[in-house]
Amino acid sequence: MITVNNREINYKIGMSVYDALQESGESINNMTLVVVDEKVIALDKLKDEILNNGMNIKLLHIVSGG
Amino acid sequence: MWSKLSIDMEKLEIKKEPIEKEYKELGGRALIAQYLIRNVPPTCDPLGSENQLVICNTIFAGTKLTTAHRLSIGGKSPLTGGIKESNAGGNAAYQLANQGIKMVVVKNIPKEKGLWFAHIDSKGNVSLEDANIYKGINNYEFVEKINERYGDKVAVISIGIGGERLYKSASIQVTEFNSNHPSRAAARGGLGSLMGSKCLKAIVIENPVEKYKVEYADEGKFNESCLKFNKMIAAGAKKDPFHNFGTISTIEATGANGILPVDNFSGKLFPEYQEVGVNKFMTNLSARGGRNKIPCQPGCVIQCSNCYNDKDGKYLTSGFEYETIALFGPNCHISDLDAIAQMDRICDNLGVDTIETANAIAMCMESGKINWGDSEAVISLLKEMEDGTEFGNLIGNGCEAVGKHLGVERIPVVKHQALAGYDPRNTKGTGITYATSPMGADHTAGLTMGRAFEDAGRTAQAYVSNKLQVAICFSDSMMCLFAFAHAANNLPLLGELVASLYGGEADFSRVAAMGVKTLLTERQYNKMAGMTIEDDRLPGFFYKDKSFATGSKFDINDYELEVLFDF
Ligand code: SF4
Repeated sequence: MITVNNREINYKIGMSVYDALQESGESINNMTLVVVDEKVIALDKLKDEILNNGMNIKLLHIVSGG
Repeated sequence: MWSKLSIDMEKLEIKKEPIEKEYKELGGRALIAQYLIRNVPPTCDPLGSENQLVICNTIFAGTKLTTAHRLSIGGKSPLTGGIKESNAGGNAAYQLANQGIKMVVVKNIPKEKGLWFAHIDSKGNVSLEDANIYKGINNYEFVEKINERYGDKVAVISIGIGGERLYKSASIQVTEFNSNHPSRAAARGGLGSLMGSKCLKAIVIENPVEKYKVEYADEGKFNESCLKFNKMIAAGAKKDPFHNFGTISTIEATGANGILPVDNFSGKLFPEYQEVGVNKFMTNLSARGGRNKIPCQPGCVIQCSNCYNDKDGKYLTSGFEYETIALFGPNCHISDLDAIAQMDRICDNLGVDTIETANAIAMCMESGKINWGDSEAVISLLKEMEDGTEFGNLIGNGCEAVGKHLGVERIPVVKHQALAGYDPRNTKGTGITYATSPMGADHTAGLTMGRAFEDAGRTAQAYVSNKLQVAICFSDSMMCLFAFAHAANNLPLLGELVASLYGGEADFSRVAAMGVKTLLTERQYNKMAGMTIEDDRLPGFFYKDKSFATGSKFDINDYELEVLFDF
């Protein structure tokens, strides 16, 4: 299982972060931080980042500037 | 009833009196605008006796509303020459509210040279104390000495040597809740030098024996709305990167899309941006015993602050923010997070704005005085500021002063104030805010980055900037901006909160009207100070040079900027 924002989806071998997001139906934009097990994945690396079973994806959205 | 503290530095006396009726229902930026236009001549010398330093609480001071204890500081800016409100977190606003003080005004200048600090004791007595023994002492050491003298429960608002030397980049530092580190800053516009010109080193506020009780029009209704509000902000915070990591997380967005300034707003990308991003930051925090999720003021549920230690696990800095990291980092071609943290600490200690100072350093790099990316050379220049060398003093006067002195063509300032960490070619609404805000180039005045309408074209950019500039005017009068960002979906609740506190209609339009009135008052003040529409422009190179990252230029024309506030 992979958890995306508290929702579980089935894990498939070789699944990337991008695939998991597609599967979950969660949408992201360029203000989204994709966090996999507490590590931020750059938006242009989502297809390269391969998941292991049990990983947790959190989507955080920047709502104001620092 | 709320009190106002008037500190007359010529007579060396402090008076505590009930706040005037016209300011009773105001707070923060709204209060500062109305006070300044009535009491400080717009054409006065910012460092002369006619200018006044105004320090105040928000509209919701003394209540349990999350982040309501934001401290607003204002006056005629020594940097921009116009009106200025700059706000900070920390524990001072909370402590002032506990003392029943809504507002402090500092007037006139002493007849004879000297240095003083204002002391508010636990019984509410106020006095001016001799501060000559603290002359030339920077913020961290000063707070330590004050803690030795009065205990560690005091809140301190202070200036370092930046303010004492009247640097135009001088900040006013505020102690952080719990840690007492003077790391929260009302940084922009050189208000530290205004405080320095009054020869006021600090305001020290003790915890009162008896807490001030706020008078509510309808306390039950207020508590109900307040609970709803706090729950809404807490729910939003869970998904907010600022809560999870801190404002450093902004770099993950700006670094990828050309908004992060690189090499003095050259428009280039900085491929190593993640070296100064969240993963590095969090790894360093956990390896060295640092912390995030720290509230800078009591009761904040977002808790975006942090405590960053050096390689040996020793405290280095706190409130280590995106702007500082972006501008001392990629904008100076530096990717060493520890070096940037050290620069942050030096600036907080001296009491200078990190945004202004980092941009001034970028001028030194652009001119070839020091090399891009040379963090040791940067630290040496900051040391020159501390030592008060001729060039150090020049850096203290900010980006424009250094850029002009070194013959730099691309000087990123509006109304003499340096740009924050967003390239306006790739967030044009923010560029419109930079150009037209009465505050000068200020990201907190209306940052449009990331709004859904970002790609929707020029008219939409102007519309969003306009709307946000009004919204920030009322938000800066009520709470921390980062909480307000989560309140935007339930604005009528703000109307309910105001009505249950002060009485009258529970109508959001009174809140919006306060925002519009504040903005128009500030623009009027600047006009009376001699600013014209020509001051509402970005530097020419943003219109001329393309961003390498996106091919974009700042193409909002003069007419579009001029009609922005034709209400
Ligand atoms: S959100 Fe951050 S800056 Fe705002 S009050 Fe909380 S800790 Fe302070």
